[in-house]
Amino acid sequence: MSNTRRLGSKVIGTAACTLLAATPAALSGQIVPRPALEQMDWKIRTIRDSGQPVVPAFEGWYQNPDGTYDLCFGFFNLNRAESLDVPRGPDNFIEPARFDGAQPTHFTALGEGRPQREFCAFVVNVPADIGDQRVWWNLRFAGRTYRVPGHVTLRPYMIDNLVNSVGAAMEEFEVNRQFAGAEAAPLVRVVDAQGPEARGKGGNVPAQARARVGAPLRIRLQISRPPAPDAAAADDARRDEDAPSQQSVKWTKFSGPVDAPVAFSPARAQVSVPGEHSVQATFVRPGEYVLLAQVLHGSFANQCCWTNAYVRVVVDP
Amino acid sequence: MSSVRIVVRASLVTASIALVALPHAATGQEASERGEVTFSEQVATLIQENCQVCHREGGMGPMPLTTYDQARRYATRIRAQVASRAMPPYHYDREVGIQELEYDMRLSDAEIATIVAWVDAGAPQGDPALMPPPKAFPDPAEWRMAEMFGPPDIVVPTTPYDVPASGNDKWWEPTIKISGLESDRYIRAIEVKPSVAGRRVVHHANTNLMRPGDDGELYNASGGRFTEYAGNKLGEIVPEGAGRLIPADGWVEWSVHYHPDGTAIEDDVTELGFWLYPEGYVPEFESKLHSWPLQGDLLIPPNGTAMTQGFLSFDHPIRIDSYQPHGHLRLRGASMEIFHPKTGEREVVSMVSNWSTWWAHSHIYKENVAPLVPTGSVVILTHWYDNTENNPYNPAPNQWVYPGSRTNDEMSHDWVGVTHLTEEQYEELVSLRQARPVASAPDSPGR
Repeated sequence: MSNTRRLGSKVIGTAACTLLAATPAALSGQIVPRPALEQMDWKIRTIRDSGQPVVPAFEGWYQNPDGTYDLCFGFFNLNRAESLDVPRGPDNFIEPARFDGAQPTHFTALGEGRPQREFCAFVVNVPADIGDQRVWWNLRFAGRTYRVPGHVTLRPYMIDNLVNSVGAAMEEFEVNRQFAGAEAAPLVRVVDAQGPEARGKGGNVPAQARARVGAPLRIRLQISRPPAPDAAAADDARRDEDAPSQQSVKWTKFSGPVDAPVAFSPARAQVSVPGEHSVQATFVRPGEYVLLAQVLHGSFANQCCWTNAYVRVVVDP
Repeated sequence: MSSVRIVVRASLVTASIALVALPHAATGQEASERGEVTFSEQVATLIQENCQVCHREGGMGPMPLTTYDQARRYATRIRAQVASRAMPPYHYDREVGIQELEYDMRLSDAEIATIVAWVDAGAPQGDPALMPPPKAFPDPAEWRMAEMFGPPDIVVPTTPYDVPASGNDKWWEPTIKISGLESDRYIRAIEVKPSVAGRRVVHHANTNLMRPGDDGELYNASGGRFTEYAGNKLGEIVPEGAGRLIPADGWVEWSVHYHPDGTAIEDDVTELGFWLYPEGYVPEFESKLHSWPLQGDLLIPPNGTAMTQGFLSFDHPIRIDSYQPHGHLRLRGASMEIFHPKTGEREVVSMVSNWSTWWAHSHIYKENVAPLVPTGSVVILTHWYDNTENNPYNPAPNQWVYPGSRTNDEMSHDWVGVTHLTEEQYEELVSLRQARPVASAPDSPGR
């Protein structure tokens, strides 16, 4: 973190004092005009430009129709400008070992703006009889381990996967329907690639694609509403047919070679659903990558609803 | 930053010492030594006045305390809850900051000592003939402010929502036309009223005031949140002389956050009630409810703690009318201070060192002590978060905790009622205060 750079609107007090003591003007004895105390913003920071770790997050759990459970994990890269690659191994592992391998190895920088973690980037599917057993995701940075346990006996962490809200008899009231519709994880299919349709945080068996270094790879997503679960929802859906919902798509590199950023154009987009979204991904190194598209209908902070769609890309030189 | 930590730790220590000392307050102890404290003569009235509003049939308390037998059965628990000031659930430090509050639910030292002495003496009943007559309470489904203002002039309900028994937190966000207003009016008081069943699961219920624009679309007319409800909050009362406008063509945009707790509720409805000033009333002051953010990067490690702070100043004077910290399960304490750069003085206005997300009171200052903040002075907001096992509300000390909307995630802002003043209005209020000195705080703060 550069002391000369002002992050957001607030600056920590001690950092500001250090800055004042070290500026050339101060050293030369000049009187430097500066804002009055009350006109400055002050901030306590854990997020910096670089040098910070990535900390894991256990988002919660939900049960699947077959009785198994999905444990949802996300992460918070505390660096605004520094993306990190941590290969699976002693610095990035899940235990018990039989659950290892689902986790990401690339952790995209936060960027500017309001800091927010990557919500539920992957799930660990555990059997129906998992009981109270913990599944730990461990990340190590600079000799320190950051870990969280996932387990299904933590009831306050039970989350929805597919649908968050329920419909109501809105027509009886004088109601603006804009905010009243149910939120549901969309169906996402990767067009022009082998792979099944995805819905929910559990995602899909990754679709397959092939690319070359430096040559943009076009990936298209077909995004549609899920089938209505009941007659009332079907009625709602029919009423909404003339008003496609706006949903957001966010692309990130999920795993791949170290120091090999992937450029997405665009990395974030709004898409009308039902509809199609297209992105161009450009690679700077050969190797095997997994890309993650999160298609959101609702709110990450509310934990519902979105679909994780993964695309495995083999990049040739 | 170090000075902040020192000041507040000292406050917490002071509060702890006060708690330890409470059961030995003179009145109750002397009564106990004389063996004179009985349920009929002293305790029943205290329980009627301070407990039964919740602890009665149909009330939100887990057990009724309307008879001697009921109170005797739970006497040990009553003693522990009262002596620790966990109950009544109004968690506001007694030794720090402004103590003259409206609708203050805290017991005095003498009242606590009386209850402690009664339990320690074996919870005697005394002469039943000396029992006070039963206290009549309104229906739990009634408006709590109706006792002060009568029924609300305007009620805006949500549309019904089916709350599931378990699962992810839910957000119900219908937008409802305000009905019954023929002209723009100023609000005197506001209460958000969850249903009786819904009080268990309504984590918060916030509203925005919307108005149609020229294009017919609805736009936020309140410049942020219009009202806020959390954790059994009573409501908001606009200070005398101030006003918050509600337009005749307004809509209310709801955001009701449900936290399922094991029991499903069908067709749950939360209501927003307004009490209005008379038609033609024009307030002298502009009053607003602000959501003031704290600025730290809220990230709490497993078994760890965190602190956030917010700093605000204005280009005009203000009067702070109320203070309500907001956080979730890991928020332990909160304070509001004012720093005056011109004098170097720093004063603690309010301190809540034993905060609970389930009891989110708006602490309303009595008008003659509501802080007057001159132009340029800095309001300092502080929150302390405890993600250790020492926090009884913590569901999972071994998890990292992040900002988020769910009850298991955290938030860091305060709801503060503010009257915005001109320099002339500020000077006038200061002069009035100087002409009318504040009386010293009584033993029973705010009572």
